Amino acid sequence: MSNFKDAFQSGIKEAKIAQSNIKEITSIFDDFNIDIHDASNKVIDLEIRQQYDSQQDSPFNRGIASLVRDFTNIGRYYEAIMASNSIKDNVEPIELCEWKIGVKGYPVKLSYEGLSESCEDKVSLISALEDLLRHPATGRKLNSLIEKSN
Amino acid sequence: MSTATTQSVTLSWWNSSLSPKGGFRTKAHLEEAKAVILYLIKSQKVDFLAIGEVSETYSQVIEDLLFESNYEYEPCLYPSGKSKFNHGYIYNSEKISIVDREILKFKENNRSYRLGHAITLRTIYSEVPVLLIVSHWPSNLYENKVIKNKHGINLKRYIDDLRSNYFEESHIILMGDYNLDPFEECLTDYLLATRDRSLVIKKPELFYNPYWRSLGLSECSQFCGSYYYKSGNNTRWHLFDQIMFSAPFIKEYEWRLLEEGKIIGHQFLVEMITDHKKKFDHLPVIAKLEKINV
Repeated sequence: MSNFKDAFQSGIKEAKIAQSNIKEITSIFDDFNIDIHDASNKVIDLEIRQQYDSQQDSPFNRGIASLVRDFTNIGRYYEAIMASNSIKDNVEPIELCEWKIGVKGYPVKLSYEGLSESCEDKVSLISALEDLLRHPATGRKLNSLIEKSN
Repeated sequence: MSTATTQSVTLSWWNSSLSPKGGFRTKAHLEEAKAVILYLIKSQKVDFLAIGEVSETYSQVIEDLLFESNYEYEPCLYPSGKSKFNHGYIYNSEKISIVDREILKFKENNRSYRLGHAITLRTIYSEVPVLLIVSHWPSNLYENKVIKNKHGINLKRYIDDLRSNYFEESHIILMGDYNLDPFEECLTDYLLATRDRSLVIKKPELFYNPYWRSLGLSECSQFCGSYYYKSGNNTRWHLFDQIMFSAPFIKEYEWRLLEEGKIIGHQFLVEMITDHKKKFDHLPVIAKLEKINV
């Protein structure tokens, strides 16, 4: 016996949860961006942007490609947090981390410098973004953007 | 049929109990741990040993043990909230290289949990890499079932992402101390690790878990699992240490399983872990892969 009404209600409920989560995640990212912008004397802007990775350098991918004998279409698109210099247009933006939002919003996965971390809720995501900022590689990238505005 | 010219690689996992929670053990414990390492390398011909519970203190000891051999040691020591990754890899560098590494974690309520360490292995026999995910999940003493299940969900999610980014049928091996028996929900329902070898061929999203065959107290003589808990109420034996395989190993693409689901229960090891005066509590597990030459 089908139960389409229950399935319909369940889908609507899940969509509302996802919508609410994504709104919350967007708000966290906006706060993150504002704080970095202020802390960098308005030099750095952050945004989430789609990136392309040809994956030619990935050892895992090179081996897989040799197995399937197919070296075409091995690249992939993904979203990343990009930092850019808001003062000088000719400075190339720098990727801080890969960013992946789940179907229901959470988990949000951050990947950078050999770490992949999934965040299941708001407090965890904030903490993970703080960890990202504390990482020496991130500091180096942001500092290089600041130096290029002089 | 295996011959002397077989191109094979033997993998093993052993929780050494050297540094539980980053602590130390006695000199006697250390000496016995060193003997186990040498036994695995020399007698069991292990090419790659992932060794659990080894803090930074013991890295130099292991390097010294391997001095002037063709084995190298690479520690995996990363902080994760209040705990840390504290294992390492002893490997035959004439056969195997580690070409990529990624720490896998998840956070909930601002607590960090260790999912595993994903390393890409290359052997001299094949261009095709093997992704090995080494895990040491929390004990039931410290985490509830919901959190334990989240480990399975998040690791499966990572693997799904990897498969969609790279190739659906990648060579992936999961190994470690899961603090779960093979039949527990987290491994069967969330990580999708099954006893049904032929079903893995039809459904490549499943992992083959050969350790199901080692369950069963009635078959037990000396040991009935890989983990011995001296104060166990219903059983003192559990099978927490496992090595699981993705479908290409079962379909025999590039590699086949020559030995699977094996626990190393040599008498001296069993005596070590059942001796109430000693702190060892895990037996090593082992798997052997054979390269297929078409």
